[in-house]
Amino acid sequence: MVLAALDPIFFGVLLDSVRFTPDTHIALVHGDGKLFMSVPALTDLVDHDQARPGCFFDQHKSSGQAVSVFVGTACHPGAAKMMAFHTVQPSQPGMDKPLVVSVTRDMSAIYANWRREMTEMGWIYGGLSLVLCSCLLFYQQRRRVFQRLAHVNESALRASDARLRSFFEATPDALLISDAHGSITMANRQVESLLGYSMADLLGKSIEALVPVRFRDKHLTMRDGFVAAPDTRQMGKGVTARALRKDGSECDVEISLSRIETDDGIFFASALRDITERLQADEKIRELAFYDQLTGLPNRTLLSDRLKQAISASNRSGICSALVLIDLDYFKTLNDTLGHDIGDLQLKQVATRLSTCVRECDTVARVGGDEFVVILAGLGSSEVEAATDTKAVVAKILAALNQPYQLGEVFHSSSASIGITLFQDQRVSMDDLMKQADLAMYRAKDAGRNAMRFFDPSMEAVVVKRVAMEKDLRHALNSNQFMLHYQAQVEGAGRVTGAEVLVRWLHPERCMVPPNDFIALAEETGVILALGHWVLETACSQLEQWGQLPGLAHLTLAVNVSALQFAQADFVEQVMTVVQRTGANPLHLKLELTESLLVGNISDIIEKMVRLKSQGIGFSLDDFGTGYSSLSYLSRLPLDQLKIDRSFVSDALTNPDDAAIARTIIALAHSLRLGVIAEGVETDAQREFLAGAGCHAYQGYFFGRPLPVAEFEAFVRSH
Amino acid sequence: MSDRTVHTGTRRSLAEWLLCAVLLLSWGGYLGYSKHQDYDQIAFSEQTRLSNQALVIEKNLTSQLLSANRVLEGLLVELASVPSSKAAASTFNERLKLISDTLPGVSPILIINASGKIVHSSVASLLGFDASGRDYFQTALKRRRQNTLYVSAPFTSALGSTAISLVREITGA
Repeated sequence: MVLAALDPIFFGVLLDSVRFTPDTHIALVHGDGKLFMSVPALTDLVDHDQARPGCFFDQHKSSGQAVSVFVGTACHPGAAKMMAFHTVQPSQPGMDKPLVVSVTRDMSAIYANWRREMTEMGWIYGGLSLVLCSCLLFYQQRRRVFQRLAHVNESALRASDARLRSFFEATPDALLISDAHGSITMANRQVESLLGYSMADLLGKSIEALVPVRFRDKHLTMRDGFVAAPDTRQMGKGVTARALRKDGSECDVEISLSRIETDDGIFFASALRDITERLQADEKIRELAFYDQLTGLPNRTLLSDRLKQAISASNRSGICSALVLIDLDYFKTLNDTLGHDIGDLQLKQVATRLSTCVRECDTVARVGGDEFVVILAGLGSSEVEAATDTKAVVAKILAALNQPYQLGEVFHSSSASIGITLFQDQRVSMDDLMKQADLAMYRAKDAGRNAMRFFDPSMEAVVVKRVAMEKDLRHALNSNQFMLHYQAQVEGAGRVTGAEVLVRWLHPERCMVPPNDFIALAEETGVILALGHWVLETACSQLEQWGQLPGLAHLTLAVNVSALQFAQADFVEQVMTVVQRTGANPLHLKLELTESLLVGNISDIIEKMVRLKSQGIGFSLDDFGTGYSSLSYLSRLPLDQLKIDRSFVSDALTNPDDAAIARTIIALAHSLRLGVIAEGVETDAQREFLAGAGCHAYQGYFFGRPLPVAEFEAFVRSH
Repeated sequence: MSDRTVHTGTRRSLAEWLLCAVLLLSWGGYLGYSKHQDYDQIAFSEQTRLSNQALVIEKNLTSQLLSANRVLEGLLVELASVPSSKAAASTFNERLKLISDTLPGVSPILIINASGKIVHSSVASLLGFDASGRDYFQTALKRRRQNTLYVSAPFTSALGSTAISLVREITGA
């Protein structure tokens, strides 16, 4: 037999040539399962039997397939393996036993990369999952933080908005917020009540809809101007405007604007305040301030304004104007007799009549109780022409005012005294014009009323003099310019019983001022109170001095008391204080009262007289017969003496009426058991007439003129 | 925050977590499926690769076996004309050695007589070696079939290496 042995070295190289991975195990196995060789080499190859039942080799052999692949651990302890078997048994030559090639790899090696990739992928997956979850968690936490912040901000915003809305609604003004295009974005409830629009109507509406049509173009232009140049208008300063209500009516509003710049653009806040009532109140105030409530005519304030304008106009144009002062005659009597209601009715009718007598451009004003003023403007450049026109108008006024008045159920006839002053281009003040017209009016009064008078510059001279005297009069008392003269009062053949105190004013420039020139002025200005007090005190001091002197101690002094003095509530206390302070004998003091004093509250007068009388002070009724005296009151007065006025004495010898009055007075005094004294006795015939009539007390130049105290004392001593 | 806001926030968070879970699971599922595909693909590819490796070896081995078989058949023919002289025997041995050296993967080549003695060998040292006890000799002797190439089980050869013998019977020798 021929034998050829297979070279294991050669086949080792062959098997190794296809082994491409370290873990690949390639074996050549005999058909009986005996391992011939393997790469890598295994120890104990011969005994290594591959044909054990259940092994992959056995399964391959049993399958009858030339090629088989198995995966697992069957008969191969340890790691799982993949084994590929290929049977080598060519048909020629006929081999009694096949050879089997097995190629094996460990499953762990096969899937090593896969497992590594799986591991890596698992890490990546896990890592990315972790990152994703962390991101989500972080995102959710951040979102919760943001939500919390947003909630806090939203709460704060809501609270702020609520406060704003609360303020917005609480304010009494109607508030609107509009954007730069004029679209309303916000409004409060007050807008509803002011303009009648509901909130739904307003939102989104153009603010021009609230502006009356005639003002819209102007408003639009202004609004665009504000947006472009907001500094051109002062924000927050109220302006008055007209607003259009939903029902088409209009109302007066005061609008304050403020500019709001936000990220959303420029807005304007408008505060609208209904000033209808305020304007009405203003109008009412103006009316109250400038118009007389009774007649509806302009009052003194408005007259001043109109007069000022008229003066300015006349100064500029040289056109004459006239100021007419109208005073109703005996209006006070009407008030006193028929009542103020009736008087008011007449004033209203006078106002109406005056208004119908003048042009519309003229002014009729009421400046006092029954005083009216008319300004006649634009009368002409000639003073004569102006005076003629004025006279015509004033004549018309006089005629109108002379017409009877229907005052309720009473017909009343009245008249007026009118003073007129013209003004053209002379620089005169309003007060001066009023004084001029006043003077002219008094001149008309003096002329018997129901008359007109133009102002004459001589009137002004009198006034100027009067004003200067008033000023000097006030100064005189403090400068000891007054002095007392004493005119003797005698009885019978010439026994001096006393004197009447007569005040004299020794003016440093005007020398001796007669009492008639300043007593009336002193009464008008109230200086008479201080002056009367000084006279009383001086007279009482003199009485006290005379009381210490033999031959003079019996003298009495008659001191004149004005009505104004006597009307003082503390007059009695003043007299008593003076008497007590000077120490004069009240029995030697006699107060001379005038009849005009008795017009007042007679009960009060009697009460004061009684109180003084109780202290020993006597009373003489001066100028008796010249005024109005109620005989019934006369009997109630605690008088001591009646004094016959000089007018009756001087004419008694020539005028039978005056003589009769004088006799009557003397008889009256006797019947009332009063003393009687005649003043102004200048002749012996007068004295004899009076003596014949029963009057034995006299005062007058026939016995002695008023003398200073020293001369009077000498006069007394000489008699 | 109001209860409503808290409730809304919780629901939204849960929805987000649910979405995240679905996303991760979907992604994980896709990856798992993909890797499973890879796993199968690797198994298939490896099976193919191992089969191809085995196929390459089988082709090579088959070629070697066919070559060895032809050599053995040729030697069978040639052996009939070899004189019985020593010189001829020696020349024949030299020729065996030449063939053995030329033919890769086959060594040694032996001619064994019916009693199991090696009468010709490509390796001189093996001449005269008694192989009658060898399994391959016994198998061939028992079966006695021509045109059969006996493949022995692996054994340790007289040269000390593991070998598989390819044996052809010589008829009429």
